Amino acid sequence: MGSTLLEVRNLKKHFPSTAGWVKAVDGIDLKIEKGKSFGLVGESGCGKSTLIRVMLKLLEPTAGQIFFDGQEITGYSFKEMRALRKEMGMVFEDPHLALNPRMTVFDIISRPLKIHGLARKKGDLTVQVVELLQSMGLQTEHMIRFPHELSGGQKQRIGVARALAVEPQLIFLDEPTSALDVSVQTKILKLLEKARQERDLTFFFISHDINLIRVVADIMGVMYLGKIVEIGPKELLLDDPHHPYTRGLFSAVPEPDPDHSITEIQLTGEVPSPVNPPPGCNFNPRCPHADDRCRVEEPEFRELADGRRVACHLY
Amino acid sequence: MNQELKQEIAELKQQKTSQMYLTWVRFKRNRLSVIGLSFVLVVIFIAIFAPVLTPYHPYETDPFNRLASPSRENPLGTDELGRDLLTRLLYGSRIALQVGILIVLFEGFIGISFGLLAGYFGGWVDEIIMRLVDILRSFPVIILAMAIAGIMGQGLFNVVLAIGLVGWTTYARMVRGKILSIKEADYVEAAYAAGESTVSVILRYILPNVLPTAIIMVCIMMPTALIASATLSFLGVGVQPPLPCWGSIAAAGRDYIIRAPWISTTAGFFIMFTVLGFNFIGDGLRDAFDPTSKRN
Amino acid sequence: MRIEDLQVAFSTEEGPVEALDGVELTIHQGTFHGLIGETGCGKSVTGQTIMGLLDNNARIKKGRIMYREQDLLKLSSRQMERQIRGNEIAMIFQDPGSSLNPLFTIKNQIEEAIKMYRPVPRERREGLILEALQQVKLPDARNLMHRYPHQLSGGMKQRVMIAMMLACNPRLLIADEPTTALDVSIQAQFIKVLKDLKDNLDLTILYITHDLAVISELCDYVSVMYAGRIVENLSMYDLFRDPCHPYTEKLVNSVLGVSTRLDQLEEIPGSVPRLINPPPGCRFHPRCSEVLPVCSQEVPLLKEVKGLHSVACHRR
Repeated sequence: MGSTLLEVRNLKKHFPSTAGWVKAVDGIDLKIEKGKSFGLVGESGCGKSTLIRVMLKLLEPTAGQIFFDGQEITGYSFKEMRALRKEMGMVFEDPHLALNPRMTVFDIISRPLKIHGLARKKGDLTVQVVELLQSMGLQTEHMIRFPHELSGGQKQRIGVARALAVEPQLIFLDEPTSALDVSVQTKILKLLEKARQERDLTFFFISHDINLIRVVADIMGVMYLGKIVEIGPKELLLDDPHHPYTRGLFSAVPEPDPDHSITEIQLTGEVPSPVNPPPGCNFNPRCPHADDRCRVEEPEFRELADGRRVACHLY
Repeated sequence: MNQELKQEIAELKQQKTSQMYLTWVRFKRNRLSVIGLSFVLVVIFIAIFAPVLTPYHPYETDPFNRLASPSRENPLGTDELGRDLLTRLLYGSRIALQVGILIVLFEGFIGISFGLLAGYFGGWVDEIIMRLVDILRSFPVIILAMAIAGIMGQGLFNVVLAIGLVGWTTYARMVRGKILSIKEADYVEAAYAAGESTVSVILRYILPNVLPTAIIMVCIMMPTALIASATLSFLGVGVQPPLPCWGSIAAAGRDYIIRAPWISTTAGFFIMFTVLGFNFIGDGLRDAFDPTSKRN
Repeated sequence: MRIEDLQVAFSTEEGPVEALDGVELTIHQGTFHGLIGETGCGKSVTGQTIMGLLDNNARIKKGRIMYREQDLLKLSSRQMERQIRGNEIAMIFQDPGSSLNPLFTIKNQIEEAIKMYRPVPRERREGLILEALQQVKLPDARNLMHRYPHQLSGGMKQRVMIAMMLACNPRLLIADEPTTALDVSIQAQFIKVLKDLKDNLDLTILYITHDLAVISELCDYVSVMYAGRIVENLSMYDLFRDPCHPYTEKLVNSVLGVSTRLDQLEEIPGSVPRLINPPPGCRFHPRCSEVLPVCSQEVPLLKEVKGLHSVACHRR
């Protein structure tokens, strides 16, 4: 077991809306170990994007605690957070929206270096930027380009270069490939993996694409309606998913294999609104195993003997 | 490798063309906007060189030569006091540009500042500014101007004040809307995630993306300002005679529309010419400032 | 349906874009035919051309779309509307929300479609609507048909769209990325519905998508598109087991599956070309690892490899 880099305890984020409080993130406990790649899977609207934004303190948590490298950062001010931003990077889903259309690639990548005073010495900034570009398989001449002059894959590589520029310890990746074509996503994934090994990085992926998380993660988590229902080593979860939602979700994934097909639909119905989640276990209306207890008592998120944690009365 | 790299970087720096230049290239490609620009340049030229272009003085009356038809001496004839019409129209461009620029600067400055404040800070700041905008927008400009003229007297600056007092709300709304959408953009979130300070986010991420909108706004609002000031002068609450103003020339010509129809029509033509010019420029700028339109 | 040598160009500010350049494919009655390709390869344009729904700046330069002995491109827009669209060929889109009118109930809308395309007596209409809604496995169809679109979720709306098609009984259904906006669990339900329809009805579908996994669940035959051209026509089984074109092969190997590991994934260097100025010869040659000198000069034509499997590559 490595040391814990980031930990959140009972993290909550509720948004006001006309219909009531939207419980986007509703009590999350999570530990990310140094050097590991964590992958969080969830369908749209489950609160995974909100979660990473709260963890990064781009949004203020409603309740709960956040620890980074052993220090509680929940109450950090905007200014205190700025210094810590050097340790945490982020890569966005749509590379086209995540790059300032009026900055050149050079400006985009060099900004983080300037903010944190990391230009090695005067005049070397350009060299640093070029090195980053080259490590992403881009050319020096891309430096003077504007984002709209690049292809989607190139833009996303700029996004990764920007996150890597300040040599952070932890990088959050919000659906880093879902806006890209299949033929270019491999490139990004390989570059990310290479960077992780060379720089001893910790990754936190979120995605709706289970196959993506399968490929990139060591530890896998499944999120449903603002809560994490199951967490554990990837192999454990894939071979023997415990929580009925995890099982249903995995069975719904189509396989690029002519000999495989979706036989049985385990997940029926639709995700309820996060404004008024069902009482008890919030998965109970869709769960094939739900009984009376599930409708009133919320299951504890407990650790099993094999090292996984699951929130279900069945275990 | 370092030497080679430095060489390459130096070459790239030369290749790098400025944003301004690219904007100009894109602007030039639109024929209509180039025509608009030439219209406006003509008006500016006239305003500067009016004394050279005509031998008369705009106030010079000739009681024996009133309402004369166009002739060799007076290419557009004379008005009811025997002043050379062409001369008055040429000098009129000075008043028009003066009033137009003053109005746009006045309302633009107030509007963009308030729009920025409302959009960026939101909350009660936004609430107060936007309610003020709502209130002001329910004022009829012409009647407001008449009231101001009544209280403070007529004159050029009161025209600017009257039109600007309501005009800034258009800017404020536009700028606020634009900022709200930029604030939500991923690249602003990315900037915060990278550790940018609030000031830096405003200066490097929000302003550069708002500025083009603001400049286009100025070009589009210019004609509105010109027409509004001409209307006020036409109604007699704007720029006062004997100052040569297109609006009041058109108004004066109205009484002699049968005998000397060229007075009102030529004044109207000058207004139209200038307004059209600014409108074309505004359209062209909108495309030119869009960084996604391709570089040539 | 047979599409022959279809060429469509768009005129844009930057110049003409040859969105389709000699597309050839055959869809057999009763099969599910997949049309796959990446962003901007022209797969959606193909669907729109068949339906006669191209934008104003598009021009069909060449080609024929033979549908049951008649060339759809020769029909007037009126004939298309009366005889083909809706009752012979129907289409469902990526965003189900925008294809339904928010002001009418589900029942009204399906009824309207039936009125237009299927001459049945008034009394039988309600039965047809109910039947169609049940066929797409919508629960509680009797109540559901009195609801408005905004009361349904994305997955349900998409199924309502299919029900509407079924009620009109078209022969060919064109589905343009129908599941892209849906979550996996909803997508699975949707796929199941389509599969059941395939078993029970004699339905032909042209399924346009970029998602190879969905193709493997549904389709019998597949056409692979790259930069406005069909590079390979083959059966779904061959797509995964015996792809011939280097692009198809790489594409299949870059898809994430259950047992894939990162080091097994193949990457295709470079990026998809812009169609405003496509590479000469084979449009894939700048990214191809098996490129020959001839590839940059001559356009490869579709050659038959074996029955119903044809490929456009100079190597094969």
